[in-house]
Amino acid sequence: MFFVLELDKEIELPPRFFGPRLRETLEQKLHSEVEGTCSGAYGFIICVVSTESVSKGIIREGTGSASFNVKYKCVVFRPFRGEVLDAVVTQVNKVGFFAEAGPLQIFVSSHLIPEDFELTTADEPSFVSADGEVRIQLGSEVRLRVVGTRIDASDIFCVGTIKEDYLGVIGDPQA
Amino acid sequence: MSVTVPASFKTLVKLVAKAFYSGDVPPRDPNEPPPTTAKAKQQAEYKGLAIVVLNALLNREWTSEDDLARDLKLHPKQLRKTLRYLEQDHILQREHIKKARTRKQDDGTDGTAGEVVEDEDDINPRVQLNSFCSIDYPALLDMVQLRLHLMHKYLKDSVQDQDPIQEYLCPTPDCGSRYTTLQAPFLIDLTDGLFHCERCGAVLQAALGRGGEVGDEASRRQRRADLKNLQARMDAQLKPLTDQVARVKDMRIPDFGSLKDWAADNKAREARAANGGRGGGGGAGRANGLQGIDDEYRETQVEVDMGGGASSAQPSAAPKEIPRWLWREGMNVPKPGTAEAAAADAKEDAKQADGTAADVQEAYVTAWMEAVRRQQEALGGATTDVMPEQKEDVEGPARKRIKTESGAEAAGPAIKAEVKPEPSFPEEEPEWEDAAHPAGQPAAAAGQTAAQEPEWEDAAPQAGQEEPEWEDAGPSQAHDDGEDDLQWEDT
Repeated sequence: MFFVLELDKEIELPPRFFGPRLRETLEQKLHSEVEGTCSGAYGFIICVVSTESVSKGIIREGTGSASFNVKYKCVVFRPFRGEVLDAVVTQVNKVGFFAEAGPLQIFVSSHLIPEDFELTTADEPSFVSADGEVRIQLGSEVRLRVVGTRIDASDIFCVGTIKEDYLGVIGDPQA
Repeated sequence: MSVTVPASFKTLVKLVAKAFYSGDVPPRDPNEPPPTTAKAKQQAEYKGLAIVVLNALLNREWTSEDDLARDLKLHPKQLRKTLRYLEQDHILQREHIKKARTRKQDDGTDGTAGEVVEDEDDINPRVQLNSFCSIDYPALLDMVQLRLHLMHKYLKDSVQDQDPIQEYLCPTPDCGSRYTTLQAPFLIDLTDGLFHCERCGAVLQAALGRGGEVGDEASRRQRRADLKNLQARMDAQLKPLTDQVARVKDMRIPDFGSLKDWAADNKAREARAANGGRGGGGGAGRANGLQGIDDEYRETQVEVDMGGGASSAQPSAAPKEIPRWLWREGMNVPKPGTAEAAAADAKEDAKQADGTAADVQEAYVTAWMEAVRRQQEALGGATTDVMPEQKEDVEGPARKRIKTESGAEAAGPAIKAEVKPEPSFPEEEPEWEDAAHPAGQPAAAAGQTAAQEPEWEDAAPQAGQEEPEWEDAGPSQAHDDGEDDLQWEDT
């Protein structure tokens, strides 16, 4: 699920950026430092929407850098158990398959794949339905439900299932 | 109120016993070596014991376990083991009461007889217990329902196999690590697409269910088929039990209550039965069991000693004097403890029996006058201070009586719990005297234990005023001053 949050961050700027474009540099630095990170408390920070306020810089003794406390708004993505996500298959193997929903990695175990799917390793490893119509292979788009999450300080990992109604392959790999 | 157990509940108990307790109860410990001697073998035979015990208990309410063991011709220890197991399974309720101590066991540390014991493990093993048990129908019903529900749920979940987090076990015997799918990114080996143990590197095996079984997809499917089969069989075999539970569910559940309540109840009922002249035909069998409870639950008798020594001066058999303000028209006033009064009463009674109304009145007047005269002589005009207006006041007679009882307010009422007369300790008498004169005290006078020694020395200087602790339990009549006695304020 996506949220817009207001967070703050301490940003350190070397003295060579002190000048008329200081604010822009600060925002650039904030974007590069914050976007794409993951915190256990808030989830993945997808992007910074706006910078709300910047505190006065404090010169660090010895280095000459200044540190600014920046308050910013950002979009975060945090998965919850029971949530349905669309994901792209990144790896298929005997024990199941891995998929990615943006920055989030999800594993679907083979026992949470419908029973008529069989693993074939002929060309590339893939799960193929009994009638051969549906294939879960590298790059397939699947809709899955999150059944378990493991949230560490700087990482989130999910376990998903496609063994339910309306879940499963929704698109073949784009060629 | 008598508890009658409906037949459907009895059927339920029988079904439960046959369904769940037909084997060894308690189950045999596989690590325990089998008994060798014939006697030990017989005592270690628990097969089907629960069925026997429960059937026997169906026709009893609270029953002494010793009686039960005798009736079933079982060793009490063996029976107790089974009962304990059934109690843990919430089929029975048990209560333990300390037996009255015999002289031999009396070490003065283990509370009193008749005390209810919460946990039989907690108490000194030397204290003997009187244990009672009965079928706990409310708990039993709950237990059966929960058990059936959990069995169904377990099988249903296993069949559906929807456990979201799959477990993986390391097959290496020394390692035995367990992992879940949540750790998948750390376990996966991209070269062969399998999970490997983080510690030993062995290929992990998927766990089937919550037990320790492992297997691939094929065995998983096989297992599910087996479980489905098992579920069907279980449903079929437990159908009588489920039906019986459904039948019984909305009925009034028989409940014997706690042992104490039940015993009191039973006693009252039997007394009623005796008064009604119906006789306790059904109760006769229980009489023995009840006897024990009566002994143990004998109410603590409290003797109220008003006014200390003053009252003891009166002859104990004398009828209490009725205060003057309670005298009423036509009342026969008894006088305290005089033979003449009794004789007068008897005379009057005899006259009343055959005489006319006038005779009765005349006799009454003479008797009354006589009584008053005697009383005045005896008390020396002590009654003259009674206020005349109190004559009409008949409210709260008991309270008034207490007030006027000689010395009642001065001394304060002392209530003494009746204690069993402590056996006298002849060998301790001389020591007491020794203690009173510490100068000449021999160090180890006649087997006195070292622990008691300092107490003796402490007590010695005040021997005249204060009784040492150990004497308190003894016959308290010997003490002159009531202050050192065990005392409670009358409230």
